[in-house]
Amino acid sequence: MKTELVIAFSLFSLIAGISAGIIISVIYYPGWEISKLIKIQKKEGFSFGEWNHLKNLADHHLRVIVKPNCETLYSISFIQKKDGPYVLKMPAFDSYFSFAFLNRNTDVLGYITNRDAIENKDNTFIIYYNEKEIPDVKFRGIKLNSKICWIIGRFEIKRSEEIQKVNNIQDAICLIKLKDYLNDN
Amino acid sequence: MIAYGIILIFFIIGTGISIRYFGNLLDFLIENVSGNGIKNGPWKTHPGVGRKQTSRIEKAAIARIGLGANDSEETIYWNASVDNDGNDLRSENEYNIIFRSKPSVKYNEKGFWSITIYGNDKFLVPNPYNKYMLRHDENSKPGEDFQYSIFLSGNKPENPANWIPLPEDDERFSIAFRCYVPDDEMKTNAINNKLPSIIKV
Repeated sequence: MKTELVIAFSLFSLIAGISAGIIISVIYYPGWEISKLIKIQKKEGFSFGEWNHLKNLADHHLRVIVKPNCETLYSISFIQKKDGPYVLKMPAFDSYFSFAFLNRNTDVLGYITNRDAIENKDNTFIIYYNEKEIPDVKFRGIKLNSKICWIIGRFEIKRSEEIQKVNNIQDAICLIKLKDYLNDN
Repeated sequence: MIAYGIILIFFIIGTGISIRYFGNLLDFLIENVSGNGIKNGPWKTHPGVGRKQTSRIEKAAIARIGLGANDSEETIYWNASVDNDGNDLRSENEYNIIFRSKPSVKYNEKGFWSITIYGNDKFLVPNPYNKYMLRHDENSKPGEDFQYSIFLSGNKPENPANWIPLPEDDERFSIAFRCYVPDDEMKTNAINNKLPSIIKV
């Protein structure tokens, strides 16, 4: 092949490569960001189905989450479809809270919030993938359709004196596989 | 054979470069392309956050600047990087954020709102007071005439109750106005909702 042709094809190839890279990135970027978070969770010792409770409000030292809020405490967990349904037990909490369920594309699959809970009582919810998997339990629940799901809990802090109280709530939140829950009950 | 190898290497280099710097490309697009966002005065929001039907490129942009954000059913995130006159927000200046009506959230369902300052890098700004935001005033009841203003400056004012510090060095900054549990007016008519003004002092 002539040198001029090689140069021309190489430049064309470079541009085609850049285009291909952009297309790949557009499709997979949200998933890459989620994978990074899963790696960080694992590095910090949290497996699938375990909570990582952030016990302090975000400040300028927090660099993992872009534009973090400073009015809620976060609790984060990842769950896998292959582990089957989970039971989520939430102690009574008199302020705003939400658990958002996101897939790898960062689509919100649904929420469990203070509006779903009975006030001033402990609440139990079920997280499932298929109605056939769950026994005849009367819990409110959320149905997921994702292999991996990111759960982000947010708990409102009205004033800094409440942080310890909310930390205790976070520690009391229970995420347990349904089969283990049924064995225990 | 060598020629084909060279062409392939250029393809791989091109792919690698664009994947490596895709985040920077997203930053550029976020700054310069409005996409399907909603604009209301100096504030912008994106109704597609967290939605399955949102385009791939917008999802990538959201993952870049708002990973894990709630969708607009739960929280509406308004962001401003300019004041009401359209000038960049800069920390060498002082600003008032003036509310003339109570933000449209469902207070009876524990909805609330907050104002937070972020540096040019989109992270919280170090300051000696560890103060980054102000939130919903518990004492103002829904339905009351609502007058509220928040002062932004680098120097601590005499009355710091409604004050949020700005970055000490002169830099661009942005303001996030979060509305948790927005009401139907905010969700369905965000473009006409009465949002606070950002006025340079």
